[in-house]
Amino acid sequence: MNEKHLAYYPGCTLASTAREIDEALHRVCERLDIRLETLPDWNCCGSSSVHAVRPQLAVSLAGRNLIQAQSMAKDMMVMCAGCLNRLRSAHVRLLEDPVTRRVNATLLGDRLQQEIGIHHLLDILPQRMAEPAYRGVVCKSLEGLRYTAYYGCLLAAPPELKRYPRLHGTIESIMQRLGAIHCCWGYEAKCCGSFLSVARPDIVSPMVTDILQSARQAGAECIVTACAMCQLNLELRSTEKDRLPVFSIVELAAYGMGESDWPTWFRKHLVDPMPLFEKRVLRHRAAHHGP
Amino acid sequence: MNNLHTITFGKEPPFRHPSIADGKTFRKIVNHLSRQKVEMCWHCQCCGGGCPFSDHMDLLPNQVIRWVQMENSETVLRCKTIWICVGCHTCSDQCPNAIDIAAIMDALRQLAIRSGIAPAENDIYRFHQYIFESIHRHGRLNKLEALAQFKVRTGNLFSDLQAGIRMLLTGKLELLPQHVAKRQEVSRIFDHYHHRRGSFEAYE
Repeated sequence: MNEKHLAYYPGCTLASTAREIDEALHRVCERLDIRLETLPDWNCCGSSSVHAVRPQLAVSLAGRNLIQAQSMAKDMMVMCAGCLNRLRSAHVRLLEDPVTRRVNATLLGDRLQQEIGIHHLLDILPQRMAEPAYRGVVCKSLEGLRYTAYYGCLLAAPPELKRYPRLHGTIESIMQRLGAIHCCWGYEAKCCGSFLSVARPDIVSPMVTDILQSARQAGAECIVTACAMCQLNLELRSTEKDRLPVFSIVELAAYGMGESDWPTWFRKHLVDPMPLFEKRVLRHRAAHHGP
Repeated sequence: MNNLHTITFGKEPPFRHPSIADGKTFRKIVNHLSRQKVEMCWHCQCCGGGCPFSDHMDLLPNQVIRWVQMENSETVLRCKTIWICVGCHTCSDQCPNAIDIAAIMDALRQLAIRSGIAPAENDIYRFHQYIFESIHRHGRLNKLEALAQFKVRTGNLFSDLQAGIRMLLTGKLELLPQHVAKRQEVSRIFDHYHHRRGSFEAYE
């Protein structure tokens, strides 16, 4: 068994509104011998609003986190899709643009010396689960659960980040190990409305309803997402009467690996996933494996 | 002042940075700030076709680029499109010439604020401002604080109240903000860019 040590950047969302994902993530990593060490004094990555109005400031804010990871001499792991984008693009600029490099060297007190690997959990998880040592890590199945995978827009990278591998297909490969049934649809990478969910709910509600309806048409009973903001928007802005539950991929992976805290995570969802989970997963399990 | 800008909208005549007012260099400024080449756009309209928000925009993304190509700062900086854009990168992903259109929108938003032009979408602008200030204060975003300010400001206090209470009860929204330990480091970064607000040339 080879342990993997990574510097973990939680980000503002996972430290507050998506605390359950943070918890599940730590459990999953423990099971796979990935040791996470949180950055000592992380700050906001400059996502959405800061980079929307002051792009250069966002680079410096992200840079401060990168410098911390550099002094820990570890690769980074990020779960939030927004943070991933900001940290990666700041990383590219700080290494490749001489002016940004110079300005930030005085501002941050240090330079980025070499490339730091910035990984999303989905970068690591599927390969790790495929290693022979971790074949038996999945002990509970989600057999019978029909889902669609929703990556959201932020995992589709802008041109300067095309050098990083695409993550599309990774949710499916994890869910396949868990035994769930995938329903194909065309909205995998559609934007959930992002922060306009707060500023202009009138724009976002129809978009979210459209996404949820098309998931239903594809035959899915739930949506599995990798992004905490997508999860929140899909739950909050749905205008349907019978709302589709939305899961995070880490919660389900943690369940599959035998963690028992999942009811406390599910309780935090704005759309209660328990009726569906009971109907599809727990009952199915009871019928086949005994109580 | 920890503000996005110090000019009150609508009360004073809009301040114009000489290089914008001059008009001729607008395209170059946008190119410089966004690190893109707007000249590369051949108006295939892939960006507008794919944009999930295009129904609510007054100019399609490629039309914005067209106006930048034609050096028309007035139309571009006053349009709704630059504020409606959330930077989801759907357009950037689809562009056959690999123009990062979202980065151009970032640059235009920055220019609109800097030249004191009243934003066409005031609510969205205020939202950015409260998030920005919260990050400035704490180094991390305190969602409760920023959202409460926004709701008070827009007078829309009771929308989402139910969801908000549920989130508070389940511990999703926190009452107390989290702070960065070395807050002076974060303030230094903010101050650096604040003071240079008015000058492009010195920017980088």
